[in-house]
Amino acid sequence: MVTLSEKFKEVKKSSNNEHYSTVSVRASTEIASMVDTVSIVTKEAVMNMFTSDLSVYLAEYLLKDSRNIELIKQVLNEEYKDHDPHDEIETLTVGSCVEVLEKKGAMDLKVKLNFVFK
Amino acid sequence: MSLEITFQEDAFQKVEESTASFDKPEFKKFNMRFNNLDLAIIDAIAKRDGISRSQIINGFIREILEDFILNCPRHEALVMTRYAESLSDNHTKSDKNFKWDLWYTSLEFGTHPENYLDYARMELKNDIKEGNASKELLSLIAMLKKSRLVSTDIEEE
Repeated sequence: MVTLSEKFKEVKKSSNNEHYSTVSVRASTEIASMVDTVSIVTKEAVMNMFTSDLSVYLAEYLLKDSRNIELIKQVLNEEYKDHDPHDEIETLTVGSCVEVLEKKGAMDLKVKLNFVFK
Repeated sequence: MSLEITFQEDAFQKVEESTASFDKPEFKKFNMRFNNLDLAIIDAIAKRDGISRSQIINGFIREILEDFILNCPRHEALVMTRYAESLSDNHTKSDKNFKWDLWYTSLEFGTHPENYLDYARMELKNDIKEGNASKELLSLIAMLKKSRLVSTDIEEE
């Protein structure tokens, strides 16, 4: 059973949140037919059907190869450069595979402040 | 300087315009919402491994759908895989030999999935006829029938 807060999180994802993007996915007939079937039985719009699951499956995939450590570091550093400095670091990772990895204890993300004393 | 190339045209076989037609696989586009950081990581994997973002996303979607079906009770999984198959009717698949219902029975019950599928359908039909089907299963069938995406014989089961 999905709790009210979980449902609320999902609704926020489907709203016009700047941390989410809508992409067009071209699926083969066999995949499309099951996507439509699952959308009917779960009463879930296809648009949001895979949003959270993708983060979980992506996290599992990343854990399968240690080469992904460097890849995650690189992406996070690049994304952080473009990050709005007024936002908390969590807003960058919330709902993503990085949040899943953090919850699993596979990684920890902190902002390191660099001070220059004169 | 240029090349002068001549051909003995008679040496080449004349081929009638090909009448053979190849079924082109069909695709359906869906708009899906994903986390930007997830997409950035997928793009980095795609670049590293020389594959497309779409291939990676499709791979995950397939895995998510398969796990979903495998976690459903047997009769519900059978109804859904059958319904998905009927949605594919008259459309060309990328993998022509793939059938969701056979995929499910072969994974769950091993060899001779066709035989098992026939048996499972019969069993399902009898359960419904004799009032032994769960409320959840009946409501699932009703939901699929109501969707009217395709006319199937689910109601006959």
